[in-house]
Amino acid sequence: MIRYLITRVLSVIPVVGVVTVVVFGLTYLSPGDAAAVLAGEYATPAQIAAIRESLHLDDPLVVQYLHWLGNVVQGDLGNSIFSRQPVFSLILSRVDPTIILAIAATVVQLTVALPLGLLAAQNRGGISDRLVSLFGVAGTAIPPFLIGYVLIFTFGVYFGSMPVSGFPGFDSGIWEVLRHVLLPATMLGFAQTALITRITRASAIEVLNQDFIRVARAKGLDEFTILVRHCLKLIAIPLATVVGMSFAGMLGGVVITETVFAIPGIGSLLVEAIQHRDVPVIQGVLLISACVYVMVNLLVDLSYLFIDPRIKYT
Amino acid sequence: MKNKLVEWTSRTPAASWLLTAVIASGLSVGAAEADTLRVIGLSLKTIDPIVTTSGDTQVHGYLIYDKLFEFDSSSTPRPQMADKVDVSSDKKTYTITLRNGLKFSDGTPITTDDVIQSLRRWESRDVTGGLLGSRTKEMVKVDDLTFRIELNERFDVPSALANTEGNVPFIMPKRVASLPPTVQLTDTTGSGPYKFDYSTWKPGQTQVYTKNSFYTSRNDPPSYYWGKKEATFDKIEISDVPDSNTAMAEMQTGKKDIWIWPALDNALALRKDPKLVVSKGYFVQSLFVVNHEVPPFNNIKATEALTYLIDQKELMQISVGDPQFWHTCYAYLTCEGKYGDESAYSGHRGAADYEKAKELLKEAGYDGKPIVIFDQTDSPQMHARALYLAQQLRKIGAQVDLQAMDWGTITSRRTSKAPASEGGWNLFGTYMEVEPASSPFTHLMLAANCDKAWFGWPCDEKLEQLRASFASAVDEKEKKKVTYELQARASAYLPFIMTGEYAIPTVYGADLEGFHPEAAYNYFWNIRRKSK
Amino acid sequence: MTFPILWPDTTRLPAPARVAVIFMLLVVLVSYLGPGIANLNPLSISPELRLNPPSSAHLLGTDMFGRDIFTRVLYGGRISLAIGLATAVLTTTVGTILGLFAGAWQALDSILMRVMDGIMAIPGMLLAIALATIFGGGILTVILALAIPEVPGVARLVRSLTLTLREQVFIEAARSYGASPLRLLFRYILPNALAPIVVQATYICGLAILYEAFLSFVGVGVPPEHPSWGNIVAEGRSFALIAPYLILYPSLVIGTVVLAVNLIGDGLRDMLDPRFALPD
Repeated sequence: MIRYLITRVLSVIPVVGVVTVVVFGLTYLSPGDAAAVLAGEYATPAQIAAIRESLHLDDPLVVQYLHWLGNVVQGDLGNSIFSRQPVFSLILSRVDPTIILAIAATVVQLTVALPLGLLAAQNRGGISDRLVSLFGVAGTAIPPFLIGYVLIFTFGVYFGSMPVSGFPGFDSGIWEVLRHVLLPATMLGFAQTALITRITRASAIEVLNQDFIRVARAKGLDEFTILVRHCLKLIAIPLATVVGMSFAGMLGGVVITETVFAIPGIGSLLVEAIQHRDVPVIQGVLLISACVYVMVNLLVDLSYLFIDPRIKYT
Repeated sequence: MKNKLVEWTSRTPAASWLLTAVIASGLSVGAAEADTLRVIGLSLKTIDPIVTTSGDTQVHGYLIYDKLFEFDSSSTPRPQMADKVDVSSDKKTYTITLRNGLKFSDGTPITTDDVIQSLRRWESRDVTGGLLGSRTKEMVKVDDLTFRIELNERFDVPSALANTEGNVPFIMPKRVASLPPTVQLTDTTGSGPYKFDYSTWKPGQTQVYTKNSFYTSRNDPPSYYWGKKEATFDKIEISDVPDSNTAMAEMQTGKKDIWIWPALDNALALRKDPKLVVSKGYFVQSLFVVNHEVPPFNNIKATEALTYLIDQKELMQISVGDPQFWHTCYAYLTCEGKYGDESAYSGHRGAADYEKAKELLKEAGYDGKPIVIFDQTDSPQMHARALYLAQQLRKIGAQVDLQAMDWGTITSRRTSKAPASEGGWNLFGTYMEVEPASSPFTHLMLAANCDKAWFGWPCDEKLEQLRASFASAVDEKEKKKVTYELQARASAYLPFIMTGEYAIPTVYGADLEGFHPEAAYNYFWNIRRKSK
Repeated sequence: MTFPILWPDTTRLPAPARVAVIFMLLVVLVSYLGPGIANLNPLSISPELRLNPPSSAHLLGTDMFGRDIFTRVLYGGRISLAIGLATAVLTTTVGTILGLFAGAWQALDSILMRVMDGIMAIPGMLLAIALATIFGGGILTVILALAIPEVPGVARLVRSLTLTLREQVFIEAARSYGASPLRLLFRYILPNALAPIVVQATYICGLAILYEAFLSFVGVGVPPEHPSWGNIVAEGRSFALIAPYLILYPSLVIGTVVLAVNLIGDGLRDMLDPRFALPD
């Protein structure tokens, strides 16, 4: 098992390596002279040349890459073209809302999807099952911005009770943070909720068909205990996998969610960077998101060991 | 099953703990909180007002810096940080004395060393500053509170120092003003009524300002930018809400106080709300920039054809809508300013004349190659105008290559002088706030000094001569005469195409008083809540 | 040796999928023929028709430039469906070739799959946004930006199918008759891997239609000169609270079409390869 742990952890390295190559390649392929962009509107050719040199833009590609990688390893992702701030600290200053949002969305997903999925599985073929199944299929197809605007209209304007923009600091209290995060988390988690509902339902149906459940029923255990005690435990692994994978979807989804709800997170940072073709920032966001995603999936894989101790890895 | 779930929740310690925590923290809210002015609509990405002319940065500048002179509501420059100014009889020497006891936000006294360095830095970047710099023989420190500007040629120094356009001559500490503009600014020590909290700044998203206790205001009753600047709110929080629906919702529910530069249609929709005021804000002169360097618009006839194609009324209807918020205008120096004069314009007005336009384009030797129009899609107004122009050009059989992009891309692509077919461009829409557009000095697109002119590079000696004589003109009558001739010349040369004027509204809570929505770069001092 | 995909037993297609197929046929028909018959122009702007709510003259209302939304949605269908289809075809073609080679040659496998893992590690939506931003607007860019992040998924699938099929008896037999490796791959392995690939392509098509809207939403999608469902919604976005019909109907069209495409995918999966089916 130790060996599995070590190889699994080490397997992250080549993946991240390729990510750096892809991300570096984006700048290299991007049209236009990065130095001229950095130098600004009134720069002289001499200034541009100086910037070219300082950025090693005239070096061979491999040297440029290694140089860039060396900086990245030390946490230097370059400077934003527009605000001239270091990309790393820009990302750091935006990371809190996105993390909270992603966690909240995951919580929303699970609190909605698990009961719905189990309910449907238990009433297989009934009306509730049909409705849940319809949600499972249709939920992933609805464009999330529509969900967002419906939420804003309903809770932000019609009832007027929920904040629909911004992200308060933690010093304003956990309640304020939760209030601000609930609607965006619902929007962000919507599609994945549908997906997880489907998976829960499908896995639960499989489990409920197994013999030991029949035995449990025969023993007179009530349905609720069967679902929560036995069924949930067994579907934990497929669920963990899906939750891990849905993380990637969320990292993409935050771009739209944060724009709609004006949340100063990584997603809105990316949108601002897009508007100014701020390639270093785009690169930084891509790189960090990929690393987070790789880490989350590593954790999910490792979590199998704890979810089901019977799994042996050699 | 439902009941079971409830039961489960109440049975689980973790869930009940979370519930208690949530309720408890909910109760703690509602404790006395200092009143904060919440402003949306700005996206501050650069904090150095000398590096960029971006409006977001100018508004930031007005909060944390003060100026030597400010315009009052009659557009007269009045001493702000300056106490008095002595002008020599030949009007070539200005001796300016600072008010006593002025301090920066770090408590250090403001001296003429800081002032001179700030002005030098400004002169190196700004158009007006550059003009002043080129006419200045010397800037001399007399003592800590007095300095002298000696000119080669006459120049209206107070007006220049009160300038609100382009880069603004804010007064910064000498150490900050000595930084080259390429260095990223982190020292935000200022001279204005508010302090900037650099540590909580999220570039492009939120910024927080608190009262600068070292600021000593003038006591004159405020008039436009000039006079008393009192930090009435202890805290000002400015944030960007990029989605206009969200911004609307926040305004309607009173969670935000002021929305500057809102999306027009959303702002107009808010007029129904009695708790909000939708003000016309300020007007802008909307225009099409013409690339005079490349065919077909290197031929004046082709440019003239455009004036026959554009029906200002139609264009304004489609891009702005509500007629209360726009009017047609054929004055190069705007219909709002004191020099604007529509009678100087001799070109085509009113409804489009397609036959004439077609004829002119043909005479200009238009070869049927696609005319490249930058279509700015991140602003519905600009986007509408590009679509309109394309449609009109197509009506007379011209080929149009409508290239969709955001403003950021336009700023990088507009620098190209290549022919349209090789990555260059022919036309794009933009606007100029009427205030700078009302003066030949500050109207960016009226400068016709060829390579040195704004993008589009109009090149006309006569226009340039007239602009120079305006700069030297001292009395109003002479200025009027020069500006009339200048507008007449512009209507013959067509440095750009006028497309009418429209309002950039401001939305704010009806409970606020002392707010001036008509300033192009809003300022947030002297604002109070009516109930308090 | 069976090629279920080439001679599908349509009677085994589940009912929802059949409805979805008919619906999609209608959508395609209306998008490609509708505007031609009615002779409408999705681009013509008219000041007097600004922001008109739905009426008998303008079924879905008019936008802020006085353009008819219904006409635009019809035209938008051409672009959006074309993007969905092109992305699916491009992704599966490239992914299949990479997957086949990776499955067949050990030496290629480790390199290719590491690269695929790397691309997969970057959240697809973010990579698509970055690609579309850096290479500038245009329908082709959008297709590429949507396709590249999806290629590794297909490559992985095809690789694992190839690894399984390689061991099958009929492949062994073909090999022993001296079939060349390339012939083995394309003549014997590919046809048997086709079913899951087609299912995957269907899902990618649906995803691409949805993601095209996301790209437009953040401003890097199809340029507005060519109406697409995504950019119709994006253009009407700031009017969501004032004139909800501007985004409501186009969004519903996107949602219904993506749903239909997904249902077809589910149906094909159940029909072609019941092993992958979720219980219904």
